Amino acid sequence: MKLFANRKFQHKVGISFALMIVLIAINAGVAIIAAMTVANQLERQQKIEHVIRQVERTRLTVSHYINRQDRKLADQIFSLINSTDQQLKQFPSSLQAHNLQLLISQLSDFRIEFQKYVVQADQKSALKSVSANIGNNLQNQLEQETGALEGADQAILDDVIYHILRIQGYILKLQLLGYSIHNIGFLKAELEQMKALFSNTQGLGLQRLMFRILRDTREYISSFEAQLKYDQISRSTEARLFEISANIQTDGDRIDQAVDQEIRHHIIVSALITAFVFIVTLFTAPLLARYLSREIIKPLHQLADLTQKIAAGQLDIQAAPNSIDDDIGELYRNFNAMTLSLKHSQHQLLKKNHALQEAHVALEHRVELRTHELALSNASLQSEIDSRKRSEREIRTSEEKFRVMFELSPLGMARCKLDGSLLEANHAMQDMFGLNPNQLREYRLMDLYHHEPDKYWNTLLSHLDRAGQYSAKEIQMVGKEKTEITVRHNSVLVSDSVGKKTIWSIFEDISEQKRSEEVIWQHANFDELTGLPNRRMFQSSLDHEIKNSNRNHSRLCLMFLDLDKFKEVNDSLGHDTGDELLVQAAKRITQCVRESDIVARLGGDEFTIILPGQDKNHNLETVANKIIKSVAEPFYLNDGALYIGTSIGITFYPDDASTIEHLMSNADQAMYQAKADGRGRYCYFTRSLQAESQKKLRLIRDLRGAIKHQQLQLYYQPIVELNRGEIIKAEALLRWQHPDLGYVSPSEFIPLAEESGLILDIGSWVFKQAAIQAQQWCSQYNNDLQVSVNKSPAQFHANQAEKDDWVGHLAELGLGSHAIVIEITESLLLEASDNIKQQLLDYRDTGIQVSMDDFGTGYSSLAYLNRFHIDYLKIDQAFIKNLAPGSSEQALCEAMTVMAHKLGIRVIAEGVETLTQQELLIAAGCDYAQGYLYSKPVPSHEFEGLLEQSKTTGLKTISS
Amino acid sequence: MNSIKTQTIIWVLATMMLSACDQPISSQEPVAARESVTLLHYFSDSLSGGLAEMTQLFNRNNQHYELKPISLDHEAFKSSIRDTLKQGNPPDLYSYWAGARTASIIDDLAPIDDIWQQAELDKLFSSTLTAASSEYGGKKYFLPLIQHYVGFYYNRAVFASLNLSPPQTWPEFLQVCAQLKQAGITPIALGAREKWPAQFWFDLILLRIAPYELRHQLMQGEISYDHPKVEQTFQIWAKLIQEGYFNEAPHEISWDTGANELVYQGKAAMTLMGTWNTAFFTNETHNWVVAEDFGFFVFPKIDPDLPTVSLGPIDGLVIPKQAPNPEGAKDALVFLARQDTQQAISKGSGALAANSQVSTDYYGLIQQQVRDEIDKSAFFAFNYDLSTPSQVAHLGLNAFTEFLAFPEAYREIIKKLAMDTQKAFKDS
Repeated sequence: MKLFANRKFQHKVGISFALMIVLIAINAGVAIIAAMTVANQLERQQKIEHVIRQVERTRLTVSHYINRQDRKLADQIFSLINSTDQQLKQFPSSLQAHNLQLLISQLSDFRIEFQKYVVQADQKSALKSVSANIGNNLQNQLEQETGALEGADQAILDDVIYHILRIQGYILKLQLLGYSIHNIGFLKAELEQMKALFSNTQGLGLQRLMFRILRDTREYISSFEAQLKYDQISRSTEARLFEISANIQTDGDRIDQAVDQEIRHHIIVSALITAFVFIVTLFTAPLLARYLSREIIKPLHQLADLTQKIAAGQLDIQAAPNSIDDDIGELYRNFNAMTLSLKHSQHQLLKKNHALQEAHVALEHRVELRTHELALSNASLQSEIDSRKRSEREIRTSEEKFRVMFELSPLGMARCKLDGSLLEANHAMQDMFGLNPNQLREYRLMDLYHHEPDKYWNTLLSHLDRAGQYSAKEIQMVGKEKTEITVRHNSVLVSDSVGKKTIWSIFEDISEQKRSEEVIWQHANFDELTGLPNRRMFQSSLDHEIKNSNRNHSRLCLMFLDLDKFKEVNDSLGHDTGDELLVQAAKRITQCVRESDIVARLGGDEFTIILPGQDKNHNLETVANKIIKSVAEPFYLNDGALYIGTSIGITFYPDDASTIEHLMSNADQAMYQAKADGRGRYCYFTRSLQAESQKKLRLIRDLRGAIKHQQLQLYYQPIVELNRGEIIKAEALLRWQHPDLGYVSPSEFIPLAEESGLILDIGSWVFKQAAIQAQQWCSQYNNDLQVSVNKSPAQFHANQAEKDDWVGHLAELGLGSHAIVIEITESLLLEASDNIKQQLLDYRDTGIQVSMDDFGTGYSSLAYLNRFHIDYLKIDQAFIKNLAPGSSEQALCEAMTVMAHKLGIRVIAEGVETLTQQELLIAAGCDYAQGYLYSKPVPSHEFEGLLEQSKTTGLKTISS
Repeated sequence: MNSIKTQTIIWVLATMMLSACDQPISSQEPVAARESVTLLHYFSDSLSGGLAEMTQLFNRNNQHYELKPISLDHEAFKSSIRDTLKQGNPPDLYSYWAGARTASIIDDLAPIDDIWQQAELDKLFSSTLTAASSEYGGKKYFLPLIQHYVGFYYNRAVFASLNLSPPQTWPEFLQVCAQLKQAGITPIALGAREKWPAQFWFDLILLRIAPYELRHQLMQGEISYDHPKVEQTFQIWAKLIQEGYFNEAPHEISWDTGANELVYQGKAAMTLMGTWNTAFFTNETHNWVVAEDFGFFVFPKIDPDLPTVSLGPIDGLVIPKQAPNPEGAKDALVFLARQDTQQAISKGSGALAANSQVSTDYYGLIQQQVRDEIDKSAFFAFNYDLSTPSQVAHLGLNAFTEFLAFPEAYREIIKKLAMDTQKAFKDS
C-alpha cells in the first residue's frame, strides 16, 4: 500500500474501485468454475454408473446362460462385454484409474473364461451328437443283421442286443438323472460281458460283426465318458466364471462407492473454495473502505474543519504538518500558505474593508451553501452511475453462467419463436433430435412431434397463453435417425426487455427409462416362456373383472386347466421339449377363446382362463370342448408326434364364491374332479364337490386327534397253515371309530393319512400296538406266531423304521424280530430307489420278514421278488374269488406257487371263502391261507378265542 | 500492514485451491491397457509341449497385445471348431492341422496374404511347405508352426542285446522282426485304441510301394480302395500281423500308456509314431536319453525306385473371419512366425519348426535326422485323417482297426471300404 502513497487522488480512487471489481470478478469466476466442476463430476458419475449397471447386466445374463445354454444369450453377452470394455477404455478418468484398470482386466479374464465356457458347451454338444451318431449306427447295424442270422448265432446276437439296450438305457437314465464318473463301472462291466460273448462266437463273419459291434459300443461308452470329463471341465470353468464374476461385482461396488466419495469430495471442495473467496471478499471490502477513508476523506474533513475555523476568523491556525506528498499534501501546504496570506491581507483589509466584511461573510456563507448543494447532487449522481454499472456487471455474469449451464446441460434446451421455428438449441438438444447445428433456424419445434404435431403444438400454445408454461410428462417425438423417442417436455413463455415473446423449452429423453420400465413390467406380469400373463397379472385381472362384474351385474367364469401327462413328457424327453410343448399348448388354448377372455399361465402346466360377461353357459361348454379337442391333437415336436390332454375345472362368480381365493379353490377342485373322472374332460364346480372337500378336510382334522382320543383300534385276521390247519400268523388291520360318523373305512381314511403325512404317526402306533400284542400272544399261545403289519410307501420314503428304531423296540419287548412281518405293495418296488432297497435289505439283515401284498394285480414281476429278498407272497383275492377246478385262475395260482417256491418264497392266499377254494389251494401247493372261511378280522380278545380253538381242533373246526 | 500480509497469504492460498479443484477437468487421459488376443488350441495333455514357452516369449516382447491361450481337449477339438465357427463369436486365433481339415473350414477363415507379403514370410518358410500347408484356393490362410514326422522309435537296449541295427531296407526290416520274434520279444508295438495310430502303417506302406500321386488320388476319391496297390498294402501289412510281429489286440491298448510302455519296458522293440513321441520317452517319468536309451529310424524303403516321401501332420494357426481382434491376431501371427518363437515351440514339441531359418545345430538328434530326411524327400504328405475328408477318414480308420483283428479278411474289408467310401465321397 505504500506504493500508492504518492499517487494522485484520482488514482487512489481508481485503484480502490479496480480492486473492488477484481474481487467481484474473482467471486464470479470461482462460482462458474465450481458449477462447471460439479456438472462435470455429475456427468462422470452418470457414465460410471451406466458402465457399472452394464457390467451387472452382463453378469446376470451369464448366469442366465449357464442355466439355459442358449447360444443367442451367448451372443448377447459377447456384445455386452465388448461394449462395456470399449466404454471402460474410453473412460476419461484420472478418477479411479487403478480400479478401472483392474475392472478392465477382470472383464477381459471374464470374457476369456466365458469364451472357453461357450466353446466347451459347443464341444459338449458336438460330443453328444457324435455319441448319438455312434448309437444310431450301432442300432442300424443291429437292425440290419437281426433276422439274417440263424439259431445259436441269432441267440448270441440277441444277448448282445440285450447288453447294448442296457448300456443305452443306463446312459439315457444317467443323462436324465445326472451322473458322475463313478457310473462308468456299470458300463465297463456290461462291455466285459459282451466281450465274453465275443470269445464264444464261431465263424469269421459273426466274429467280424461282433468285433465291429464291440468296437462301436466301446466308442459309444468312451464318448459318454468324454462327456462326463467335459462336464467336469465345464463345471470348473463355471466355477472360475462365478469367481471372476464375484470379483467384478466387488470391484464394481468399490468403484461405485469410491467415485461417489470422490465426487462428494470434489463438490465439497468447490463449495468450500467458493465460500472462502466470498468470505475473503467480505473482509477485504471494509478494509478497502477504511483505507479510502483514512487516505482521502479524513484529510478532507480536517481541511473542512480548518476552513470552518478560518471562516470563524481564526486565521492563526495551521494545517497539521503533513509528510504526504500527494494532492492532499499539496492542498495542505497551499492551505497553510493561504491562511498566512489571508492573515496578512486581513490586517490590511480590516481597516479598509470593515464595511465590506459583513457582506463578504454573507457572500462566503452563500458560496459555501451552494458548494455543499453541488457536492450533494454530485454524490447522488455518482452513486447512481455506480449502481447501474454494478447491475450491468451482474447481468453479464448471470448471462455467462446461464450460457455455461445451457451448453453443458444433459437436458435438451431450445428457444423458439411463437411460430415454432428454432432460434437456438444446446448440444444435448441437437444430439437428442439429430439437429444439424449449422441449420438450426430451419427446424420447427412442431415437426419434432411424432404424432399429430399440430394438435400438440396448439395445446402447447394454449397452455402458454393461459398459464405462461406448459409441461408434458411423456410425449413421443422424432429422435435422431428418425427413431421414436419418449420425452419429458417443459416450456415457458419468456418476454424480453422490449416485450418480444419467445418459447423456452427443456426436453428430457426418457426412452431408456420407459423401456426398462416396460421390460420390468413385462417380467413382473408375463410368463417368460409362453408370453401369457403370469399368476400376478392373472390375480389383478381377476380382481379387475370381479369389480367389473359387480358393476355390470354380470357373471364371470373362471376355468382352471391342467395338462394331462405333461409331467411324463417333461421327465422323459427333457425340459426343452416340455417347454416347447407348453408354448404350443398355450397358443392353442388362446386360439380357442375370445379376444376379451384372459388366458394366464400360473406355473408348470397350469393355466387359467377368465371369461367375463357369461350370462348363459351353453357357450362355455363349446369353449371347453374346443380347448380339450385342440389340446388332444398331436403336437409335432422333435420330428415326432406327442399326445397330451387337458382337464378343465369351471366355476362362476358370483354364484360359486365371492373371493378370488375361493374361486380359485373351486376351480381347482373341479379340475381335480375332471381328472378323477378320467381326464380329457371338464367339470363344473358343484356344492357336492365343496361338501366333499370339506368332509375331507374334516376327516384329516379329526384323524389328527384319533390316536390321542383312542379312536383307532387294531383288528386281527388269522392266517392258517394249510397243511396243519393251525393259526400261525395274523394280519393286523386298522379300524377307526369316529365319534360322529361311526366306522370310517380304511380305504377312505388311509389315503388321507398318506396325503397329510399323518400316516407316519399312525404307522408307528400300529407297529407298536402289533408288537405288544405279538409279545403277549407269543408267550401265551404260540412262540412262533407272527403278526404282520402293512407299511405304506410314504413310510418308506420318510425312512420311518430308522427314525423309530423298530428293531430296538422289538428288543425292548424281548421279542425276536421274527415275530413281525412287514407287508408291502408292488408299487413300492417299482420305484426301486436305493434308499428303499436299503431299508428292505436292513429288514432282511435284522431278521424281519417281508411279505408282498396283493400279488398278481399289478406288474407282478418275479424279478422284483428275487431282487428285493421277499419272504412271502400274498396272492390277491381277485384270483381266489374265481378259483374253480379247471379255471385259468387255478393254473395261475399253481404257476405263481411253483415259481415262488423256486425262488424260496412262501405263498399266502388272500380272500379264501369256500372249502373248494381251500382244497384247490392245497392241491396247488399253496402254503398259507387267509379269509372269511377262517374268520373275518376281529378285535384282539376275540382273536385269542380263535387261537385257543385252533390249538385244540385245527382248521376244520375253525371253518365250521 | 499486518492485515495486508494476511490478505496476500489468503489470495495465494485461494489461487492454489482453485487450481487444485480445476485439475481433474483438465487432465483427461484415457486408461491404457494391452488388448488381448485369444488363442484356442489343442496342445493339451501329452501334446502340450512348447506352447507355454511361445506364449511367454510373445507376452514379454509385445507392448500392444497380450496373447491369452485357452487350452481345450484334443479329440473334441476336431468337431467342435465347426460349431463354434458357425455360431459366431470365435476367438482371434485357432490352432489347427494343415490339409483336409483346414480345407473343410476354409469358408469361415480370413486370408492372411497381406501380412504374408508385408512381413515377407516367404523368406521364413520353404515354398513346398507353404504350398502344402498354407495355401487353399490360391490364398494363404494358415501359419505353420511345427512340422511333425512319423518314423520308428526303438529300444536301443533290446536292439543291442540281439546285436541288431536299425534296418534300411524292407528285407532288413523283416529280418530284424524275425530275429526279435525268435528271441521272444514283440517286434512292433501298436496301440490303436484311439484308432488313428493304425493309419501310419497304411500310409507308409502305401507310400513305399506306390507313387505319391496315386495316394493323393486315393485321398481325393479319384481312385477307389479296391485298387491293386491298396490291396497290396493290406497284403504286406497282413503278413506282418500273421507272422506275429505285432502285439496282441492292438485295439485294446493306447498308443502312449499301452504301446510306448511296451517299448519302454523292453517287452516290445519298436513303435511307429510321430515326433511328439520324443516328449513321452524323455519326460520325468521315463527319463530316457536320445541315442542312449532309444533311437529313431525312418520307415524303410520297399520299392527302391520310388522317390522318398515324408509323412506327418503340420500344426499351425488360422484366423476366423469373425475374429473380434483381427489386427491383434495378425500381429501375433507375424511374431509367431519369427525364428526365436518357432524355436521355442519346436523345442517343447519334439517336432521341427516350420521356419526354415532355424538352424540344424539348434535341434536335437532326432530332429536333425528328421530334417535330413525331409530335405531328401521329394514330397511331404499329411497323414491319412488329415489328407482325406473326415467322413471318409472315419470309415478308413474303422476299417484299419477291424483289419488289425481280422487280417485274413482283408479282401472283404477292402471291398466294403471301397463301397462305403465311394458313397461318402459322393456325399461330402
